[in-house]
Amino acid sequence: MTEREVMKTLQEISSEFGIEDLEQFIKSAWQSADLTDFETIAELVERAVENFLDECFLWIHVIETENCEQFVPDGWFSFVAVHPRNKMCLTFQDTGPWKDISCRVQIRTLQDAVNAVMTLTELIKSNLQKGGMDYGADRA
Amino acid sequence: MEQIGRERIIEVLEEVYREDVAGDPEDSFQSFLDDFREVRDPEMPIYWIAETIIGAVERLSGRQFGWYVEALKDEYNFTGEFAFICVEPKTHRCLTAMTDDLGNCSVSVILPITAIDEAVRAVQFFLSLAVEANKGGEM
Repeated sequence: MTEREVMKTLQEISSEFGIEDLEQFIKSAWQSADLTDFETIAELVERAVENFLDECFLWIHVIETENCEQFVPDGWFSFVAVHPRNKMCLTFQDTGPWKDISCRVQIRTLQDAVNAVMTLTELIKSNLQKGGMDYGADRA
Repeated sequence: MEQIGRERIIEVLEEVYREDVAGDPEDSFQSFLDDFREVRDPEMPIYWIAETIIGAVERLSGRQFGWYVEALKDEYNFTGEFAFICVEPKTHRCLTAMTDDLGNCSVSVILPITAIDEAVRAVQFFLSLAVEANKGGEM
């Protein structure tokens, strides 16, 4: 999976959402702090990850806000993915003192979105493999 | 894990709240819940409620879990409901993931916690998930 492939996939999925210029869409979502647009960005990222792993997951995403009264997004997202069959949390990270079940990424530009897709895909793939579910073999 | 009674759960909720959450030996979880229910002040540290529940579950079960919590809001204020996701750290199994009779899946559970009885029910619910997880082995 290269950055170019991720970029292409994101653009293909975004065109299904009626978005012509994804770079501009993300930029304007960030500038206008539009919560609905941020929801769309999160969904694009999730769809792209599923596309690369060729599986569907149960997702929860949190759009973090700088101001909880007015829900102004600050550009940070937390994603939780769960496997629909075995209920395994695929965004679990055991690296720090905290048992972190979500993957937190900042998305303010198209490049950030590409990085988010790559980070999530690698994390989920690694957790699938740790759980004895080779994501390639499991699809067959 | 033996059945844990209401009084013991309240005792642990109060201990966790005083020792780990509020850090004030004079404070009480029950009075914090009463204040929240009556005032609904958006400036209140609402997540203290969830932290107390989680602390009590982990203390009573003797185990740690991975958690995600969100305090739900209506248009203006916190509703007193919390969305919880609980993950068993060894198997990575999401204990709160459920499939209903129609095949609809959900990852989180939403629990109202605005009174001590609701807090007790929330702790009992998570302890029952911990018991189920234990039955699944790998613990």
